[in-house]
Amino acid sequence: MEIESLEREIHTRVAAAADLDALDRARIYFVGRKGRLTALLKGIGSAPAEDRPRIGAEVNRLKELFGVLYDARRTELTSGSPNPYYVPPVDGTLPASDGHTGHRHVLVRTMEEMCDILRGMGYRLASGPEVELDYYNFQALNFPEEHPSRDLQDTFYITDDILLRTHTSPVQVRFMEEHKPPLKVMCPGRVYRNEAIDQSHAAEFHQIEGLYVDTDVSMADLRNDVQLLIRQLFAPDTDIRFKPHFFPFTEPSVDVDMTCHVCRGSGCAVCGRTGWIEIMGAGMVHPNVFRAVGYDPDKVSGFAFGIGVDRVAMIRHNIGDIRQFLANDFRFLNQF
Amino acid sequence: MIISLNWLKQYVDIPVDTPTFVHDLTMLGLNVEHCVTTGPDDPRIVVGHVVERESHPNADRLSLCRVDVGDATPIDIVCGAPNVAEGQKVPVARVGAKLPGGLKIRKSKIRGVVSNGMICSQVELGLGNDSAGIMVLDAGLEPGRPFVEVVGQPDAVVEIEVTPNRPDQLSHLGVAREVAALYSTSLRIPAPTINSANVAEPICVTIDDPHDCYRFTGRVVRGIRVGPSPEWLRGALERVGLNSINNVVDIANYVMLELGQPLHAYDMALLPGTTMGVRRGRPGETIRGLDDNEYNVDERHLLITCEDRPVGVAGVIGGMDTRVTESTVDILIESAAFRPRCIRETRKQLRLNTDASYRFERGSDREMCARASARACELILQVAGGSAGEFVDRFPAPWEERRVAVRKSNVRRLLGLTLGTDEMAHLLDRLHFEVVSTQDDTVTVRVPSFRADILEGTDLGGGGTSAWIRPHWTGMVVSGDDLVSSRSIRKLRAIHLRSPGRAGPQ
Repeated sequence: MEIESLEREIHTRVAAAADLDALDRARIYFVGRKGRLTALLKGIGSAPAEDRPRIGAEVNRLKELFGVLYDARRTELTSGSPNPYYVPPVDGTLPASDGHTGHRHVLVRTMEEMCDILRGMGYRLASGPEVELDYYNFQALNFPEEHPSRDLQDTFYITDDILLRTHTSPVQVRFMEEHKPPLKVMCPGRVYRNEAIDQSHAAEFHQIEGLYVDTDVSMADLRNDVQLLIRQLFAPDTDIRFKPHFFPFTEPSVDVDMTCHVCRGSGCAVCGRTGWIEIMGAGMVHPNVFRAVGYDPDKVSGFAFGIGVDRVAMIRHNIGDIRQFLANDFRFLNQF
Repeated sequence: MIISLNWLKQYVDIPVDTPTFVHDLTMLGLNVEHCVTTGPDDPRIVVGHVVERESHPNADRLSLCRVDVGDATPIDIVCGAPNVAEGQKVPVARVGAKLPGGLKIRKSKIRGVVSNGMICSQVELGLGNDSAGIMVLDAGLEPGRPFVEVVGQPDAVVEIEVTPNRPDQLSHLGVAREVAALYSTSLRIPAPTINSANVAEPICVTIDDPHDCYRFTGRVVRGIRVGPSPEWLRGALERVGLNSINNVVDIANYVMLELGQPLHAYDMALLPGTTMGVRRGRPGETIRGLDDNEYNVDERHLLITCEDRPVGVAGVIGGMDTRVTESTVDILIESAAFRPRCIRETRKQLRLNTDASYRFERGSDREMCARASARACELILQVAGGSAGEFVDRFPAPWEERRVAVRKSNVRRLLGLTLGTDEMAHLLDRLHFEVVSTQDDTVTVRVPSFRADILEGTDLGGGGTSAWIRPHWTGMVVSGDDLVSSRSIRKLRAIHLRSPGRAGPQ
């Protein structure tokens, strides 16, 4: 009773002591000659005998408690410790800190620009899945099963029939299955190849596929569109040349070279002293591909091309290592 | 595929210089990846005869040699090779000679002893990869003879990219065919003549399934002497990246690279009998391959057997137990043709990949089997002696006549090119597509056995003819560069993104 209220009082009076004088008065009040705790101890004789040890212990405890609180408060008052809740004045006229905003990845910008150019030539967007069926990625594109042509592209197989697409060409088949000619589409997207990764080869990279099917589309039309694309992407006086090549889904197939951007055709280390750089592949759609989608190869013809976005970006921005595109290093990404 | 130009010139004349030729090959579709000139051409590199060899007085690992190079007196040469010995004929680069790598030979003092030249290794002469020791030449060469005469004029070796649809280009003859058509020069196909001795034991051949094996030929050559190959053979193989094994194996490889037909030679003394077979494996069968690996084979794999026992994996690899060694006296040469997919499945399953399987899985020319066998025999008789024995030819699946019609209208439609039927016929003929008939719009041709890739008329637009014509592509001009609007929008968006809160374009 008295002990409890005394304990509360000790806490309150010590904490409330605003200066050393007040603290001293508290000391005299509790443990001085005529202090409350002192009086309790003196008067212990008048308490019943069995109570005396308990009372004695309690009072001593309070004396100790007082001592500890007194010392702490005294230290506080004399050391002048700062108030943890101190708030300095604020200058509200200063501008706010610049929040981080994102920007478009160099590959995305390159892809967008290439699509813009193609859109100007009449190509419309088509897209397809990255996880693809062997049928669309190979069979419908005239790669026979168990044939060495498949060795040209190392594939990530998920099951025997499901794989990660190795080129954007399957979208040609998907689109043609759903539409009738004439059609002119482009399909940008990511592709996957199970190749050893080095400076110029990544396991994931990006292509844009172009397809134009109509009656009487010829290689001259292909050359025209390819030339326009290359000239707008690189320099307006860039020349291109076609070299015979092989893709199972085009016949004839060509490799397209463009004049070396470094030496402008005179020959240098970059182009192996030939003056030409291989930039993309193209060809006339193979009749078997038309048959797979239900078109009559005698009634329609078409051309297709595929161009690597990473490669174009590397040439335009003088990037030496393809792995940087997906390395997530801001020191690289922030340069664009 | 690595092609040696000197080798190629045996079958076709090349009317242009090497840089032009390399360009022409590339524009033909045979993309040249590398071109390297090999071999020495300096007249001061000669054959030398090591008359005397003693240890160098001041160096343990060096030798002091007195070498006869056709002068009045032999010259002193210090040599560091471990294999130099008295009596050898060696290539000597004399003072003043320039080696293919650029090194110029000077008179020098090596550890106090004067050296008047250098005895060369293969690597130094640009003739091969062996740098372990000096090159030892045929004993019969005379000292002082210019080395160029021994080893032939410097060669240009090109690596060309052959696409999977053109297995006919996987040989020197195949490439020569294209070159001959390109320059309108004549093609010289090897035409071996063999005088067979009278038959001792008849060889039997059974082919289980002509769907798997189109043809199997076996030819006996008796009384040969297996040994190292002569310089022309060794050099030819090494220049195109193969190692020389012995004269018989080398001839088999040479003919494969020459005519495109993979061959295999068996030691007849090691064969269990004379009945050869081509059949699928049976569960539990095994065969030890030439690579010294044991292979478990079953019905998924095609085998060559003798007396029904496996002696080879068909079209992929021969058996260790029946191979040609130094002690072989009689051989059986196998020259066969198989179904491409069958070979591919077999070799993939066994995790193998050989020069032979590479050609078979892309499609070999079955009509070439007999000629290749005869050619190999002719060359083996030349380098290893012996006499030709029996020749057996089982040909259950000859090349079926295939005709395709090439339409003038398609050429116009697809290539944008106007050609008359006569012009087309002429071009196709140059490419060995025999013209059967010509109509208004169409030229009908027979597809030769080495162009299995041609299935229909439009196939000839590509690998066939477009390369030859080198058309002048006509183009139509497309106008309408209206990209401005979408580009501007993007630019605005980019600016906006970079400066939040700042006043952008209003």
